[in-house]
Amino acid sequence: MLFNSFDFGFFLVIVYFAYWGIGTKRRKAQNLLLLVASYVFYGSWDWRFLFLLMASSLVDYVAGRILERSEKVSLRKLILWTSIFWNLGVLVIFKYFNFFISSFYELFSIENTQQTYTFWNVIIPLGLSFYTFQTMSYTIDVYRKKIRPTYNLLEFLCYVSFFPQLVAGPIERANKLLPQFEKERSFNLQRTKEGLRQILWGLFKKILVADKLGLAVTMVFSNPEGYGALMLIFAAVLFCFQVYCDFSGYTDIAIGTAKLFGFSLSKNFDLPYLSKSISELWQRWHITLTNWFTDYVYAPIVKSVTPVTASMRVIGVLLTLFLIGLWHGANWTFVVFGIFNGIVIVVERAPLFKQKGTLLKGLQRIPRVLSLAYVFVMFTISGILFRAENISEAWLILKRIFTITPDVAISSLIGIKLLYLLALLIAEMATRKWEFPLQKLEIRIPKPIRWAIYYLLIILLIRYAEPKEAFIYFQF
Amino acid sequence: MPKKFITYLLLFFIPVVLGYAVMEYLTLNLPSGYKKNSALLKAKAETIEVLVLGSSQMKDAVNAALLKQPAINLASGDQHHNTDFKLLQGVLPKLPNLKTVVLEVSYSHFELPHNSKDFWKHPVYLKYYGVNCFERNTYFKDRLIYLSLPPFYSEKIYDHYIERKDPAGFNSFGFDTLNYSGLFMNLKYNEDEIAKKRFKINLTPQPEIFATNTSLFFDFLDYLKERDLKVIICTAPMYKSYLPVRVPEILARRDSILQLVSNKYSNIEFLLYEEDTLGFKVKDYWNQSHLNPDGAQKFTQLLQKKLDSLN
Repeated sequence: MLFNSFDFGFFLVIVYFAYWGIGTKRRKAQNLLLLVASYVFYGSWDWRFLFLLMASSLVDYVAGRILERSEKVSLRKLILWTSIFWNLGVLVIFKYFNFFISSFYELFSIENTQQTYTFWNVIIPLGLSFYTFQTMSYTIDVYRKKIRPTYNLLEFLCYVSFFPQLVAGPIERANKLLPQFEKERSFNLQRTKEGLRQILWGLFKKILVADKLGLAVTMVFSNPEGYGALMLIFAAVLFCFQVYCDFSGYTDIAIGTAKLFGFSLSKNFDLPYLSKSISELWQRWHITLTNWFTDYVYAPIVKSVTPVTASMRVIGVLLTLFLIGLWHGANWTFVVFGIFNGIVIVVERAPLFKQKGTLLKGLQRIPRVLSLAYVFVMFTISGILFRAENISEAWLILKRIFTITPDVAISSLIGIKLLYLLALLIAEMATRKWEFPLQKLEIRIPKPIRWAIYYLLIILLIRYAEPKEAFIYFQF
Repeated sequence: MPKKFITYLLLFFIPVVLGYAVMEYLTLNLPSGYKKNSALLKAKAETIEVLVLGSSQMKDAVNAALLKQPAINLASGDQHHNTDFKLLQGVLPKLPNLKTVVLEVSYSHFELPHNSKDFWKHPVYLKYYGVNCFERNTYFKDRLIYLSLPPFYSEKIYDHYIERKDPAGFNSFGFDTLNYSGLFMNLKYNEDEIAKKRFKINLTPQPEIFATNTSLFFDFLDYLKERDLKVIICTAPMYKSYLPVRVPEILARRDSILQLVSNKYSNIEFLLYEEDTLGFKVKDYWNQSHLNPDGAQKFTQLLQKKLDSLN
């Protein structure tokens, strides 16, 4: 049940009216409805993985309760590591097992001609990387005594499986989302309107920009040998916008949907293409994931040595970005993507010259157009690593770009797609103080024009909708 | 939830629903081969002896009206073997007199992915042929034709109702007898100009897809044999500039399967005209890989001879 499908629209309408029909005073019944709806939503892909979702939820719920009761350090550590072992174990088994096995054998040059090793023929449960990180953060925060565990199983299950953000985030922390299940939600007309507008904006990004750009990107990336440097650069740049519009579009729909039910989810994107450095970009791109890794990976590494040393910071950045890369998928392209970004961040932060100035500070001072160009070049290179099927394909594309392989013909495959992209960029930059361009539209635009904009967007969405494309981040 | 909000929602969405209804109505009234086939199925299903399946190459190559035997051509664009198989299973109970099934095995048929379960034509098959290819229960929305591929139908609506440049001449067998105005006609059948044009052809060998596709193909043939149906496997003629571009590896694998089929099945005949550059001339083509109605007339005659030889 994709967000950009009629099935989801129908599902949402039913759940929405049932939810508010129950009445705001019956919070438990509302939570129960949300839980059932979330499980139906998740089960619509593959009901078998519901058991995994439930098991992960229960492990961390029980871990939280035991941690609350126990003050014994050894027991608390045992519980913490049991939870981490479970969550990472599930991830490794379902997502990375085949990758690790094949990489191990390739490392030692063992060929599989005799079928000496076998791959596990299993599909990756949808949203696994997202909800395991969410449950893990809960247990770690309880262990660190940052939050108190919940004793209400229903609310905890809702926190883990809340359908708007279950399959592709934002990765919510318990201290933000869990309390929202614990208190009464009242119907708020303004918030509902904002939710609907944000959903509309997310659909625009996904259907009219990301999917359209995706057609051109797929055409070039599926046959890189058939294109020269110019078209490959063009496709790589378009891919950066495609992945941004795809994922931030998804996030807008998720946040908008949550608003309809009276919930507030975390911001996940903050116009990342306006960053002045790659360091800044990672603070504005998939913010909840970066924050997660900062809190639970980077900070513990850096603080493991006191006083904090520069070398530990470097190790921390490289290891964190390596893991962020690996989080995206079981493929060496993602690993190299992460390491590349890690190296760039390290270089940006390294002291240069005797004045101890850093590239990061220099990027803040130079004209914005230059810093934007720098970020875009770096991001486009990592985009190639992200999009390529394997390392050799990424290498081929980069080689053709940097050796300036001539184009046989410039394809006119882009066409009207660029207009949508342009419209999106203008709208987002012109309204960058707002959460999303359609926010609080009634303050700025009279009703007839407002409705005309809504209708125009709906007509365009229906008119130009291609066969349903899954969201790129669903695979993670 | 205040009633005012519900009223507000209704007021907002009523024009959307009405607008959609207009688009659906316009779509349903577009000239279409599916509608003609649907009418044919309803009126003459019990008499049909020959069923043609396949992709757009077969749709454009066989004019069922020219066959002596009562026939229906359910081939259509992007229709792969898995969809052919489902369609056959769906319509077979309606065709008690069916004797022969014509299948297509084009150059890269075995190395192109099968239609996914979300193939956009599923609503079309459901609406016009009453065949559920969705592999799940169907709902109201699954019968909405415009919604199945809005960009495609929007262009069709524009061409037909506004530009009036869609001279579709579907006969009662769903074959477009006016389907001439393709690339070749636009180039005035100038062979030098045609030779310069790039065209769509699969150049990527895909052994994994080949394994899946051939497996299903043999299941398909077994199914037909179990029901004592005769099968004619066809390759439609390709224009001469198409032939040398084909990848030898893909071609060799396809031909090895045809050889296997020939050895294994006694109920199967072949009508292989992919490389016939003598019988089919430039004016028989719509583009490099599709015939126009003149070419279809020639190919249908060849099919007729093959059918006659079976009896």
